[in-house]
Amino acid sequence: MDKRISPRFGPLVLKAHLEIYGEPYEGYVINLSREGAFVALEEPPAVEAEVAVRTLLPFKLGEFEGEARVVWRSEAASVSQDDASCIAGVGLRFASVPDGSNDRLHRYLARFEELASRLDELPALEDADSSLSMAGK
Amino acid sequence: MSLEGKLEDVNLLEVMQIIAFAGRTGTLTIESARTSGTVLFESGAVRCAFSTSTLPILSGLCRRPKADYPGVLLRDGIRTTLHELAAVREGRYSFSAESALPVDYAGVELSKFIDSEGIEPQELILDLARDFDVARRRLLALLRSADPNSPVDEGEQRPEAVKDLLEAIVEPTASGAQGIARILARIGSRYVERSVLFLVDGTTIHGPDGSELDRNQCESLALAIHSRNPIARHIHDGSLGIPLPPGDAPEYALIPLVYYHDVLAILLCDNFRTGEPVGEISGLALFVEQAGMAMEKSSLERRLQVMEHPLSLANQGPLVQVATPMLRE
Repeated sequence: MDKRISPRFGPLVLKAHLEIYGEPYEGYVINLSREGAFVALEEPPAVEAEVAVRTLLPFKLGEFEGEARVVWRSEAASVSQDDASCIAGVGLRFASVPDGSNDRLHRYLARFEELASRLDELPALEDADSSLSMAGK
Repeated sequence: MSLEGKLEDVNLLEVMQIIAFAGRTGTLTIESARTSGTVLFESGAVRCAFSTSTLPILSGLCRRPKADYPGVLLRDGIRTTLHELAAVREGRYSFSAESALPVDYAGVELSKFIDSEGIEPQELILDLARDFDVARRRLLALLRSADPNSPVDEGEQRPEAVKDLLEAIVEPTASGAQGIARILARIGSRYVERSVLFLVDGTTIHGPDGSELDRNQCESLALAIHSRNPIARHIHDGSLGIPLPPGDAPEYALIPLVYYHDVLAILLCDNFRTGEPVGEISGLALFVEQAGMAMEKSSLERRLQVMEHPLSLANQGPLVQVATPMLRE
């Protein structure tokens, strides 16, 4: 799990609708934090491009929309240590997010973290015997 | 605590994202009235998956010598299984953490089903989402090509049973019908005076007259898309945002056509002539839901047909397709 102040959650796949200088693009948010996101795109725009992003959040939380700026870009198969490095796309930093969307984003990430933390409470990998019939208890 | 719940609240891909994020090893089971399945994870990567439809095929495959079914076929089996399980709309999921992959599951020996490499969750989930979107775009093109108002030819077959109509939806040309839109309109006419199909393409909504609208400018359409459930609204509350021809209807209903958890189209229904309320349309809503499921089933059946012929050239990738005829010479 990401230990930074604003942890990044992924792998995700959330369909994203972007508008970049008036042109519509479709991609997938594949990781997300409260400050930004990585969006897989076939034709990633240049760094510093201004992007309007919309994505429908899981758990029936509704739509997130906001303005963002491209802070880095990745061509497919480029090499780095980042887990999104082999996927073409852009790293976005949110610049302006309406309060409602910001609230939905926070609720989504909190819900995701809460569900993932349930897995942390499941038996540890070494505790094999007690894990065999865990589901449903 | 365990990770379990209803698939109405969290779909399969969303559950997989949580397991992958946590990087856990264990067994995810999916149970629904129509199908069931199991997905095995090792450190978040998918190593094995089988479902009601794919287990018999995989079992047959695994009776062959190991050399006859390379990992690519097991990975194709995983993807096809997830296609089936991802479509489940109502049912339960349950994840059980384990220290290592189980040797058998429900009497099935798993060793031959387990892909030695596994599939990275990011790659797998992204591929599935892209597959669904490609199929969705194909269906949208089909819907846009249909004219729901075109006259019926004298010799045209007119399927009336729900089963026949659903078959016509998944194979629109087989019935002679003019497309999915027309069938939905025909069924809609049994319940209300007007039923109009709006197509949802990203953030754009296409009306039957070729008009294009931003879905966020149409509050009630956006609500139906977000909730993926039918809604009814008063016509005078200003939330529709669509320039419909005038009528006396006091209210309208919106029924989303859902395909792999995404709204493909919305059927707008009202009684614009008599001004009567929309009334009981649960049968129509059920038909629209069944239509979406029929399209998903059709997509799955195409994948299963390919999977049933694991040693066919079509399933061996382009390199083998080219090389095999040369080797035979």
